[in-house]
Amino acid sequence: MKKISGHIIKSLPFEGLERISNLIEFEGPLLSHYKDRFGNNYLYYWVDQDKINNRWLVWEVAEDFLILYLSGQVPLLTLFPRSGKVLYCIDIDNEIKYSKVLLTYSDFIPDDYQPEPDAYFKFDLPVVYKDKVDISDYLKGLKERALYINVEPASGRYKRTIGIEDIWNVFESIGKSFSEYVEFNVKSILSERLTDKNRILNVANSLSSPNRLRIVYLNLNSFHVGISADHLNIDHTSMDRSVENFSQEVLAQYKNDVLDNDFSSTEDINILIHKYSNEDLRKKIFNPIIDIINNDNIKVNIADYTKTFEKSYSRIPKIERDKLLPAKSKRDTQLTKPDQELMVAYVIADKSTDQTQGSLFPKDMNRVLYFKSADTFPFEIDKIIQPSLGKDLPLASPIKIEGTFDDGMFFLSYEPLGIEISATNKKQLEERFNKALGELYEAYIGGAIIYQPAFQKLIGN
Amino acid sequence: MPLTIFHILKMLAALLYKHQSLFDKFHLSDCPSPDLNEIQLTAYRWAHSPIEHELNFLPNILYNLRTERPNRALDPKDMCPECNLSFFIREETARKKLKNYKSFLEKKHKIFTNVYTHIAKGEIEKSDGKCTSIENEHFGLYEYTNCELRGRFKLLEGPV
Repeated sequence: MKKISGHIIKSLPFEGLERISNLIEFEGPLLSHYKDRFGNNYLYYWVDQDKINNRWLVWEVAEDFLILYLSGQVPLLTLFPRSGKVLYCIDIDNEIKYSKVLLTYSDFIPDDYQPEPDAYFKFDLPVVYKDKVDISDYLKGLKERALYINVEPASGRYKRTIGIEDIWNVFESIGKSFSEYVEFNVKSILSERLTDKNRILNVANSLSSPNRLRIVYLNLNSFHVGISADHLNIDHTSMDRSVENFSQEVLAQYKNDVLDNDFSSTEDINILIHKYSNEDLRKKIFNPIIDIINNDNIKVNIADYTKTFEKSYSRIPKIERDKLLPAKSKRDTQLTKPDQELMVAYVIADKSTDQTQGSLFPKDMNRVLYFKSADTFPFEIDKIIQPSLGKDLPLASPIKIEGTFDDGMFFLSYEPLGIEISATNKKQLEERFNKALGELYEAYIGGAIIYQPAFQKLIGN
Repeated sequence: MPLTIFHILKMLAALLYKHQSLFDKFHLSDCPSPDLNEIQLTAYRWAHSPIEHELNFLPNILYNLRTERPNRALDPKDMCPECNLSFFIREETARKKLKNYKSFLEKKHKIFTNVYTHIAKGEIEKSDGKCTSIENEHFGLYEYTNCELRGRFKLLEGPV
């Protein structure tokens, strides 16, 4: 056997060493796992023999790394002590007597005594490790599906450091965009297959929760973080096969549909506008991403696990941004809440001449008795406006709902069809509601059975 | 000292097992375990070619002795299984396991695996000895004194 430099010691300096399991066995152990009474872990690794003794290397190992090795994620060499670290070389005879115990350093271990670089664990896993390795497999799966976001400071003003707010904005924006993207896709998939709106909403909420995004990797040399989508804690009982498939591949699809775009390219922008024709939805999915890219404080790079996708982003020109998100002006209008109040007027109506409620003209103002502030208002629609058909469709049962007014804005919610809109004035409110209703009706006649009960009731057949 | 039931059982066991001398030599007082069973089944074992090879049908301890190698054991618990004969209950498993070891063990560890080349098939009878419980389609046979497997096993076609 080969000569190894080191210090001969009387015995291994471990207290209460007990074997947990042999890890590799072939006519006796080749690699074995032990613990001392303090819970420290050690590996016994067979390396050589002569006619009298077997030679083993013994070293301490972190349990996390041991589990990574047993789940096949790292080779044994990764667990081997690095340069300058202590390990023990022991010779054990036929009757399990220690004939020599040597304290040495990894630097003195011959190359052919060290584990081979491609020596991964490919043997039967002892039962005692099963639970821990299962968890490790979950993490491994998440890592392989993860998106790796690298954030660097755009300038050297604060050296290599990054502001907390900038990092927070990255996470928040990715979370928002992902959530909107998933919700839209899940609803689209299920609306053609299910009629139970509550079930669809439950599934969509479960899958689009920003909490599904998990941090699976973190490297602080730069701010390099891996984000993946959990699949354990979703409500599988109410899941549909097509949604389950979407759920498994959601990050890859999100990467393809949302992240893998050149936002400076007119061609890519046009494709996105065509694909996501609903401006409001487009805004919800892409605006957070553009906010990250156009943050002047940071530079962002996103890659997948295998680096087959790796993208650096540069600031998106205003002209392209405005083209992709024309709602920007509307959005600004929405966000700039008008300074207005909703009032209820109590009017004296002349029964002999006033035919219609609600036809009050300025000249009649002298008939107003009182004004009172209000936070709700009645809203009624009796037809579906269908520009594509060139005619309107009267409703057998008009939509009558109560809108709300808050902080200068009007809000309408029509639960049977899931319509929720806001506006700053009556005209805008009607236009938006009619547009939403028209789009859903077209989806209904196009085969979206989710809307069937609501429209059958409205149209009357 | 009067004879106790323990001593009588021990003397009977000495007559019972083919390799009792190994249990004694390595002080394996509780080997083999008393809860083993006699079984009858078709079994598969790694072997050398030809089937008459002198190293076939030897427990590891004797195999090591004949090839002048020390037993590779870290704990007295490792010694008892080294005294039995190793079998699989399916040919596929026997082949796959040997192939896996040959593929995935490191070079320095393969010096133990390059010896077996074939799979042998034969019948184990209740009168052959006591067997460990079958785990992962594998079991060990502690041979009775009169057990002789040579001549009852045949090599299956093709090396592994």
